[in-house]
Amino acid sequence: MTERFPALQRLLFESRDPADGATGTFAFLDEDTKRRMRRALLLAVAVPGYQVPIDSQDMPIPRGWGTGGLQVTLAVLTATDVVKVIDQGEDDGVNAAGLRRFIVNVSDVKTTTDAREATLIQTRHRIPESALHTQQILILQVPEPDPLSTVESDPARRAAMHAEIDYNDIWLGLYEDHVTRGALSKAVGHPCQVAGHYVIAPSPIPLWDIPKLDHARCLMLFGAGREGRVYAIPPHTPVSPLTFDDLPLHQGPANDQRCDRCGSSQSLLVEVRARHGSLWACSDTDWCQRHKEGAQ
Amino acid sequence: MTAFSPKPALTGSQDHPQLSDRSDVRAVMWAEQLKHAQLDGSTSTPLQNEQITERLGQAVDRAMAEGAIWAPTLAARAVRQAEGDSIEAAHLLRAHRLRLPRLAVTEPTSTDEMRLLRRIVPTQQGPDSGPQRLGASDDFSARLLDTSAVPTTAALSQDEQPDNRTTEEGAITAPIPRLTDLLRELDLLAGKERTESDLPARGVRSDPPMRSFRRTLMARADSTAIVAMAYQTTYVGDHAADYPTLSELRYGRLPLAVAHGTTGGRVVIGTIPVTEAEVVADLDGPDHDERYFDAGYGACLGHLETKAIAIALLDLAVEQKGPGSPLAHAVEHGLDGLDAAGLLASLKLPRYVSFQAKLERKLATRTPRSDATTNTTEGGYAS
Repeated sequence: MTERFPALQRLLFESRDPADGATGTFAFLDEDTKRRMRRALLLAVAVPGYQVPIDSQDMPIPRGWGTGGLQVTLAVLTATDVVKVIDQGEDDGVNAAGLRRFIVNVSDVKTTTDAREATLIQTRHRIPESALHTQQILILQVPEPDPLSTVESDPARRAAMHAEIDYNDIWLGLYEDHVTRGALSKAVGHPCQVAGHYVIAPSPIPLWDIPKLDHARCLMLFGAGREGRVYAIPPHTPVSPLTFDDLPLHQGPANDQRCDRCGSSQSLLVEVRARHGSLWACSDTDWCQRHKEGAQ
Repeated sequence: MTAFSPKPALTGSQDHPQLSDRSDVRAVMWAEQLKHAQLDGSTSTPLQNEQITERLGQAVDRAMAEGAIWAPTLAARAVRQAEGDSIEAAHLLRAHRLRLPRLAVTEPTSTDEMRLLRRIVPTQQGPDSGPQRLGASDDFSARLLDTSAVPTTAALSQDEQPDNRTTEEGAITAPIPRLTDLLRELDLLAGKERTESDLPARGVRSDPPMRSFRRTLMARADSTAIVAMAYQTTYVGDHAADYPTLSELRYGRLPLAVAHGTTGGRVVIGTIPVTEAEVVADLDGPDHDERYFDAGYGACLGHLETKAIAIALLDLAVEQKGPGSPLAHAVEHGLDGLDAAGLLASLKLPRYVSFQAKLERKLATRTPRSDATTNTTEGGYAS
C-alpha cells in the first residue's frame, strides 16, 4: 500500500537525516518524540477522522500559533523534503514566515511557494487551490479538534457519541441555523463526515475548501497542539460535509468577482479595501502569482 | 514580542542562508532586531545572572515553577530574555526543557523528608504539633515603597541578631506530623489515602486526569491565574458555607534521590526548594458526610506560598465539586500560562479569509426571510 501512497511511507520509517548521525537532532524534536508522534499518526490514518490523543510538546512557538501542525510537520519531515507554509492562503503572512524560518533553521530543508513542488505543506485555515497529488502531505493547524465540543462538554460522552456515530446534536444545530437564520451560523470549519463514520472539524477552512477534502489524492494530517489531538484523512477517502439532501451547501465565491490581480474566477477571493472602492484578490497568493504569469 | 527565542542555538547564531531571500522572513527578522535594539540601546549595565537569581528570587522561582524545571541560572536567562514577563520566561524554559536529555527518573520522595526553613501551622499550638518556624518573611512588614537612593534594610544590633534557626544550618530536619495525620488518626478525615502519582515521565495524559496529575498541572499553572481562581472559587460567589482552614504551610529543601546504576541503592543527588500547603474544610455539602473533614494538598517548585495555598484550595474544591465538574474542567484546562497567553496572542494573527466569511454570513442573516431560502448564496446554502 505504501508503494501506491508514498506519503504514507514516512509514517513507517525513520525520518532521521542520514548526514546528521545517530545522535543528531534533525528537525528539533528528538527521535523518540517523533516516533511517538508518527505512531499516533499511523493510528489516525488507520482510523480516518478519529482524534488520536498525543503528548503535545512545549514548542518554542506560542500555543495557538500552529504548534500541533508544527509537531506533525517535524515528526514526518525528511532531509529531502520541500516545504511550503501558508497562513490563510498566503505564503508571506507573518506567522507563515515565522514557522518557515523555524522549520528551515532546524532542518536545512528547501522551501517553496509553489504548491505543486512542495512535498509537505503546512497550512492555517486554507487548502491550496492547486489539486495536490499522492506524493504530498497537507498538514492543517487545528485550534479546536472536536466538532462535538460545542454541543457536549464531557469528553467521555463525546468519545461515546463519536463511537456510536451519534451526531444528532450537530444536525439539530444545522437545522436550527436554517429555520431561524436562513444561514449557517458557523462561517468556517463546517463539520465533515469522513468515510461514513467520524465527523471532524476540518479546521477553520472556508466552505470553498470543503470539496477539496473529498477523495483528495494527498494525505491530510490535522494537528491540534493545545488540545493534544491529531487526526487524518488518508488519500482517496470520501469526505462529505454535513448537509441536508434538499439544501446543498453553496461553496462558490460570494459573488461573480474576478481577481483584480490575476483575473482568476476559479479561486477564493478576499476583499482588499482600498481608498477608491474594494479590490478583490486571490487568497491563495501562490495560485494568483502562477495564474498571473500564465495569463500574460 | 518575538515568536521564537531569538537566534536559536540549534543552528548556530545565524539564520539559514536561504531565508534571507524572502522579504516576509526578513520582515520578521527586522521586527526581532528592532526589539533587540531597544534593549541593546539602553544605557544601563546588562543584568548578570547572579543579580537576577539573588535579587529577583520570586521572578526566578515563578519562572521555574511554571517552566517545570529546576535550573536557577537558566531561569535567570529566561527572565532577562523575557524582560521579566513570567509567562514568556516559563515558555522559554519549557521549550528548552523539551530538548534536554532525560538521564534518570528520581525515586518518589515523601515531603516529610524536607529540610524546613519555614513552617506555619495556624490551627494548633503546643509541643505535640511540632515546631513552627517563621523563617525569612516580610509577611508582617508594612508595604512601604523604599524611595531612598540606595535601598536599605533596617539592621539589627549585634546582640539582636537572629539565631541560626533562620538559616539553612538551622533547618528543621526531623519529620513532623501534620494536622491531617492527627485527623486521620482520630478518624475525622474523609477516607482518602495519599495516592501514588499517575504522572508518566512522558506520554499521553488521561482526560480527565487523576487527582495527583491535576495537582501537577496546578504546580505548573500561571501563578496569577491560579491565585485568582482559588480566591474566586473559595471566597467570591457561590462558595461553601464554611471557609477552609490552612493546616500546614511548609517551605524547605526536598532531597531528591535516584536508584544507583549498579547497586540499585538510593542515592541523594541534590535538593530542590519546595513550598507545600495543606488545607482542611468541613464536609458540609448536601451529599457530604458531616462527621468528617476533607483535606486539600498543594505543592510547587520554589518559594511560592500563595500559589501553594491556591493549589491546595483548588485541590479541595475540585474534589468536593467532583471530577468532570465545570470547576474541574476550568482547573485542568484553564490555568496554563502558555495556553492562555498563546491563544490570546494568536488573536493578532491575520484572519482575512475567516473574518470575510463571517461578514458574509452576518449579511446573509439580514436578508429578508423570503429571500433567504431562495437566492442567498452567502448564507452557505445554494439557491
